[in-house]
Amino acid sequence: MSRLAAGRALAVLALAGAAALAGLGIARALGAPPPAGVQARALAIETGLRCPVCQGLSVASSPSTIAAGMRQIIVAQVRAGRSPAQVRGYFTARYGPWILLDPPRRGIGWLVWLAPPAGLASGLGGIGWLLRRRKRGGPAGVIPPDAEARAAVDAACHSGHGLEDDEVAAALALLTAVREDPASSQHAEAYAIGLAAAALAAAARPPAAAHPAPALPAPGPGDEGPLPAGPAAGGRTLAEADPPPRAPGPAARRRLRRLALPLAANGFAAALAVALIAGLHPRAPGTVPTGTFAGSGAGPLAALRADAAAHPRDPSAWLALGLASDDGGNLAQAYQDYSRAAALDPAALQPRLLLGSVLIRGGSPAEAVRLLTPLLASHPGEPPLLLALGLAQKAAGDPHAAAMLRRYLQLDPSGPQAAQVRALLASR
Amino acid sequence: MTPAIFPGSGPAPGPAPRRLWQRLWRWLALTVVAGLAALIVVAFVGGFGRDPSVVTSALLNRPAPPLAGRTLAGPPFSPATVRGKVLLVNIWASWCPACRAEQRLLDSVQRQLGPAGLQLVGIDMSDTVAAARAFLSQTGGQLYPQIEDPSAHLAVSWGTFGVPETYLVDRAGIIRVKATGALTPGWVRQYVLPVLDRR
Repeated sequence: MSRLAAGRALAVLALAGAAALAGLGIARALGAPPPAGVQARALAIETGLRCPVCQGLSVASSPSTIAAGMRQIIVAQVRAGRSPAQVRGYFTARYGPWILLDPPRRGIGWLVWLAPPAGLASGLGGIGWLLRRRKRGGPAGVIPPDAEARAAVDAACHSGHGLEDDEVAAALALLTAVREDPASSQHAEAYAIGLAAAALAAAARPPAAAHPAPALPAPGPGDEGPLPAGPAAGGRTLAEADPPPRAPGPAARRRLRRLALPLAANGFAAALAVALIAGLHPRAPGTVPTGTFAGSGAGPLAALRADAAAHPRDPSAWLALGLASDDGGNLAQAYQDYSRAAALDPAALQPRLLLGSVLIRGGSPAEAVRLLTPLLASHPGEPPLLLALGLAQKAAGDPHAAAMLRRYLQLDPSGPQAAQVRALLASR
Repeated sequence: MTPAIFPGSGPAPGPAPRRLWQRLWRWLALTVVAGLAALIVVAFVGGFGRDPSVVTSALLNRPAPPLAGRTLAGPPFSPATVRGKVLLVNIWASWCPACRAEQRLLDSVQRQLGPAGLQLVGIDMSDTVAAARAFLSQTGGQLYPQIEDPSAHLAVSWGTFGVPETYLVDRAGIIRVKATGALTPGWVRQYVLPVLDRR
């Protein structure tokens, strides 16, 4: 008993702690002061806008150049004194409400806003209902009601089960005592007596049509199962554990009821699977996973490959083919195509920068450093080269990386990648 | 019989109204769950049929945003040179394979439909001037003004998602159609020619 009490106290303590932490979090979130300063106010807007290119990300967290441009626009507009709603309006006028990460609070958008509180409320309600049912159905529900016990005894006495009168009297007295004091230590015995009484009543009852079924809550689909193991099993009355025949084919009905939930779940899963198979269109090989290009026919990759095959001496054709392979995620193919472009145009920087980028992403930054370092002599002040080399050195663990990246920042302080390089340098 | 043993311990718990309530509650719960399941199925059926990455422009049938900025050729873009013409505003970048694929078509559209009142304008987005000039000399696009937009500010003001995108602006300055991806001759026939003929 004391162990039970200790466990209960611990559970209450844990719940109280969780509730306190949740309350603290909500209070902090609600009481957070409005962001001060241009950067903070701009950041608050950026986190609520969707990046047009990487559509799962906000403008604040997207590394794409278009998101960088949007961040600059937001900062400029905040600096000019425009309100967050006005800044957001600038983007919704161009991209529609799609650009807002928060769904609109109207129409079907309400569904997204209301579903979480509704789910929470129904969950709490469900828990409350379960607790109430358990409490109510625990000790009291096990003992059959007076009328039923009386009928059972009547039937037993009249059908020659050979019960002695004083045995019956003692059993009924015990039943009554336990009913009046649910916490009685004799509960288990009373339960057994109740079970026996219900069995007797069922045996003595004439066939269904002549006799209405006893007033019992209809068992739910999940309520069927083995007999309760003891009085604490709770939640079900005796006769429910052994339902009397009340309709033709009760076994079939019970089986159907037992199958209803799995059947419904399987039907739901099947409907989803059909929807997925019917709805997902396969993408042509080489197409970019974000968006099918309108009217691109066989796909840009095939066209570019044909173009490169038709002009095998044209470095730009191989470069474009490599870029397309790169876009499609085929680094090995991109490496070959870039190498071809580099070989055809020994002075060109672009294919070598792209080769370096592929090597960094492919996990060979040291090789990228070896490839890019000699180019410094011919292109000393070229920001993209400094950037690529700095990033390669950083990935390879080269101590010169920071100096190289700083040199890049000096030459291109407002470039699209400058902010990220600064963050990279600061995070070190 | 010993009726005294049954003290009639209060009225028997009235099971009938509770049963009714329970049954109602069960039906209500079942309806809610079934409704939610149906909603999810409908969302899946409807949601997977479309590509969420293709979004129509909010600027369709609205006045086109202003075109401004330095051109890749050097001098600033002058809106007066394109006034009163049907505009095809093409947003591109030298690093974009599909832009390279459509460039030949864009040049021939400017050559053939220019005399009929069509004017192409390029916006070179998120690009370096050097790479863009190399693209112009190797691939094409020198027949019409190209505005440089390294920070994508101009492209964002046009509601651009990516490159290439092409907007058709009629003579009144209203955006009529937007094409996502490389242009095709079929698109030009279907959308550009009717607007060009409507004088």
